[in-house]
Amino acid sequence: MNVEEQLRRTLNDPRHTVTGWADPVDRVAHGIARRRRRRTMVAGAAVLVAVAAAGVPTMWGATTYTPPVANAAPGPVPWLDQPAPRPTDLARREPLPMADDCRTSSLGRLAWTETGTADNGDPVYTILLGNTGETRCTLHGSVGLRATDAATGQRTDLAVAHVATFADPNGGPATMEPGEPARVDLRAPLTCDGARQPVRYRDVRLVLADGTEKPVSELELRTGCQLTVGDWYALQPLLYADRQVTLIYAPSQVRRGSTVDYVVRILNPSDGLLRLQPCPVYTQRFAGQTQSYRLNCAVDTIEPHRTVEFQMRLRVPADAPLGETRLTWTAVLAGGKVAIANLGAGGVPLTVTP
Amino acid sequence: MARWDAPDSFADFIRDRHVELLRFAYLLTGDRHLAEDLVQDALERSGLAWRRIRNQDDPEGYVRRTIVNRYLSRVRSLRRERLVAQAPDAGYVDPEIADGQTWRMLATLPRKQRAVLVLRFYLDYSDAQIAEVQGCSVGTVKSNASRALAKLRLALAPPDPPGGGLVPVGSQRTAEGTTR
Repeated sequence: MNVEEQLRRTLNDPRHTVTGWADPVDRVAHGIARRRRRRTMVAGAAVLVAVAAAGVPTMWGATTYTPPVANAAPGPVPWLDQPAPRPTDLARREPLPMADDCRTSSLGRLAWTETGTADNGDPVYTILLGNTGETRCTLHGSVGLRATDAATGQRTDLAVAHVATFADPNGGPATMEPGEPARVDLRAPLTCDGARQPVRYRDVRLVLADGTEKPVSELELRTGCQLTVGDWYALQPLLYADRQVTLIYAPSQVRRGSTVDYVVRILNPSDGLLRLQPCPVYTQRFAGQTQSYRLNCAVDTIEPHRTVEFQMRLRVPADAPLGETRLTWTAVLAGGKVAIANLGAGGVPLTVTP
Repeated sequence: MARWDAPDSFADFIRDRHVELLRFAYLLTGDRHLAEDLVQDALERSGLAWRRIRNQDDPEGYVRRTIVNRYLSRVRSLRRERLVAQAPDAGYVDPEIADGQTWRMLATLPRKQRAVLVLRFYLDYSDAQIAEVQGCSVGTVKSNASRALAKLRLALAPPDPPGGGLVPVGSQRTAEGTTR
């Protein structure tokens, strides 16, 4: 039998028949209702942003944009070329008290990852799994891992060493409000004593305490060393600074290797004074780069219902990936509370062109 | 939450075709959970545009195209958590099938190559139809099919006979596959 015939036989094997859903119409209708509600919320948010930014023109300059000033000091505060260490002492919510154990059905169907680096340069994958239920719950202990060997296509249980936790000891176990994720750290060393030929694994799944699997989106592991996994923990959400709404005004397209000026507008919608003291450090993230600077505190207070604009500068790496990306801007104000620009949208979209 | 009432024709379409669409998505992905996500996503998108889609000749083709496109671009789309109405409580272990090795080798192929093989050998699409579904040229389809088949031939060929590298004339394995 040739390969083509084998393929036809395999793909038409009746054992690939998938069990249908119990009530498919209801299931899809629920999903569509949810989509429509989300669209309505996005449209509503867009209207709010439009109202907040009244008077802002819709045409962006090619590389520099300065919005017209509404109720603001004349001209933006100039950019200050003063790099600063990335702020680490951020204010976070107090850890939540332990709650009932999370039920498997109240956890997300798909986990996802954030990639970091350990002190020794090894990659650290933080795997996040959301609480999609309607009540607060707690995840204890650790996880197993199952994956497909990319070379052989064979599913296998990965041998992992367990450590109590890599993270803040106050972070575990993971108690989450609805919508928040629990985290577990996985280390896949690049080098080690007695390293074996590196093996590439794909379609990685978490194996929970009751044996349930949760696929991890887009995680591939490549290692010839012992994997190490920690306990579930929760990273408490940041606390947002009061009395501010912060928005980015940037060109929609930026060229590789260019320097781009843009504007961050901070509005104080409250009846009290917004103090920018001590002088905040801000972090801009773009195309995989993170840059932190001190704000130009020539203006260090914002009167009630007034707006101040700050000129910002962005250096687009010559090797920045082409296409759509996002620019985010976060400042750390007094007490470690943060001001995040365009909070609802997670920054602004920019397109990198050659 | 405000309820969305499916038009009758769309409800009938879902009831009649969702199992087949799930099977197609499973063959495409090799992963039942991902297949369910893809089918749900495609049906939801199609439901929102059903009036336009049902006036076309082939609504099922539209849904299949959506499934393929979402699968091929899942790096972007699956980064976001998606809520569904019914989450399974228990994990699922795929049963071993007769042509286990072919199935496992399919899993090692890049997504585009695997999609070409499924469209060609499961749905019997022509190269032109596959090109339309994937939004690429016929040449790209042929090249993907050729590479995929070559890999499978190499992997599925019987082992060399013991006792040396002598292979009977006419039975040499080649890295180059042929297209239909």
